[in-house]
Amino acid sequence: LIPNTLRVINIGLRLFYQSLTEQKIEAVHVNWEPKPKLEKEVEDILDKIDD
Amino acid sequence: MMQFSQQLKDEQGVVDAAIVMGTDLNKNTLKNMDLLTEDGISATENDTLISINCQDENSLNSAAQKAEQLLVSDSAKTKNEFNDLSSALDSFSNANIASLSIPGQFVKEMAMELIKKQLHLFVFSDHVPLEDEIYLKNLALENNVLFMGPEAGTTILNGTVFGFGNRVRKGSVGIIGASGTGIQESSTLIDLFGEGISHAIGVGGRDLRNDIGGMMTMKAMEIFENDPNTKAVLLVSKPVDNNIRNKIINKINNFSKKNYVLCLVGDNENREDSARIKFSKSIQTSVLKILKSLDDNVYKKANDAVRNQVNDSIKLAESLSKDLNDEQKFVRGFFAGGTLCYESKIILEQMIGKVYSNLSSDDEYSIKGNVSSKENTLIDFGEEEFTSARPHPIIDPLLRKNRILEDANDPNVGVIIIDIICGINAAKNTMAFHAETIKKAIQTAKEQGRKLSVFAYICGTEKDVSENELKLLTDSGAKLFTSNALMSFAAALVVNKSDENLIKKIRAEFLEGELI
Repeated sequence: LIPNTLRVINIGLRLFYQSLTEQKIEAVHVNWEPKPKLEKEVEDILDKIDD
Repeated sequence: MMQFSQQLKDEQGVVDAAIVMGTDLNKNTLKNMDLLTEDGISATENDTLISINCQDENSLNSAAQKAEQLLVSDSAKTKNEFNDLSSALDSFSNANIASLSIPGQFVKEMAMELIKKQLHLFVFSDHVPLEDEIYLKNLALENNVLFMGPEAGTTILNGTVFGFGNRVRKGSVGIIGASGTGIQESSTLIDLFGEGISHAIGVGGRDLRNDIGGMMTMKAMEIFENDPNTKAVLLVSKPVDNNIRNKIINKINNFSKKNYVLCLVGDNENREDSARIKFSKSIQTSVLKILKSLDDNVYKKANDAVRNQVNDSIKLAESLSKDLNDEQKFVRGFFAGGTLCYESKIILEQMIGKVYSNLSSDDEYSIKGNVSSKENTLIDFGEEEFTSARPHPIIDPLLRKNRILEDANDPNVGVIIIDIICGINAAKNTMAFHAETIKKAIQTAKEQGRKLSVFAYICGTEKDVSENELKLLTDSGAKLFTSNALMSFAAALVVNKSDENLIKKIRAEFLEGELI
């Protein structure tokens, strides 16, 4: 079940991505950020646009 | 943000620094760190707060410039970095594992997508709601992948470390850990005694609770059962409920062809070993037992080494004990590893009585980590009061340093004990940093006319720690130990001369694994 060759997507701490590449593992990094908190009014407008 | 804070702290002249979002929780933490200013108080959760405490104005100006660079610079971005998961999945085909270290409340949405794409997950994130963990672990089982976490500190797959871990040799022991530092200590001791590990699978601290039912522990057992490189399996956890323990034991007895050691750290019952399953109350004894199940010669060598270390520690404790004055009655312990703190608490309580701790479940002895120590006190610096807005103490040991120096001033303290976790993703120069702290602590006590002992358990292999780094620590006056249990045993002996029977009991249960 555990792959012999690991291919890793790192999401969050960049430190962990760096350490994986230093260990010669094929990896990519996702710069994750929380969605900005919007005023209810703005959120409603965006929802309407989505619809 | 946390890494930016750390980089800022590494700047010349910076005493402490934090870059955080202006949430109430973060503002409260900054207040406790003495980093909350008038401007900071008025910040909202849509603001980024940069707070810096410097030795002088020049340092402050250059640190402020550095903070700006860190926040606006895009230069570190490489072709392997993406702003969202779908772009990463599109560009990086055949990914087979994801490492998640995002806030817990966002894990479910992200993890669902990854599990459905058949990726294994290593989940470092904390504060994942329990119901999310149950849902995600069930989903992982349906998709035949591992969900390693949440709050998994360590996993090692085919020699590759996820989270915090050590450069241990490959070998025939499989480790399943509901504790990150439990995996770290056991894997480094196995390495020290000449064996190695196949994989170490972190399952998260709650996996063996009744409500999770050991879902990933069972999955990991199946993996090791079918892995030709794994000859014996070590399971490390705090004590678990009876029905979960029975579930594991039944599974081993009915399905397993491999030998198991169940290390239930601090278990208060004596359990009888069988041919297939051995029990242990400490990480050190679990390692001896796993070696015994593999190779008698390796075991005998390891056991001789441990016996010599125990005898040397008793002599050392007797000699240090003579240096204490009548007021120096107490032990203080400041830990980066939660399980190590817990193990130490169990040993000290048997030898010197009740201990105040932020891990204590006894109301009378439960204290918050950030209030002053009382009598015998052990603090886990990985608990929420320290990590809500700062990196884990393995990455950022500053708060612990301050506490060591604070307690070095206390005339009632005889011994301070600490764990120093080395290896992959640990703080850079952690040995030098701690050597300087220990030297200062011993000097502080000396200036006040006392001889203070500082004990350090070094969690690392010879590939993690250089001879020079070890020398820095011994030169600082620290006494070094190869296991947490041994350090705790010796500390108790320094402040309180235990009777022979008690020493014999601790040797058997926590240090050597069998009656001597």
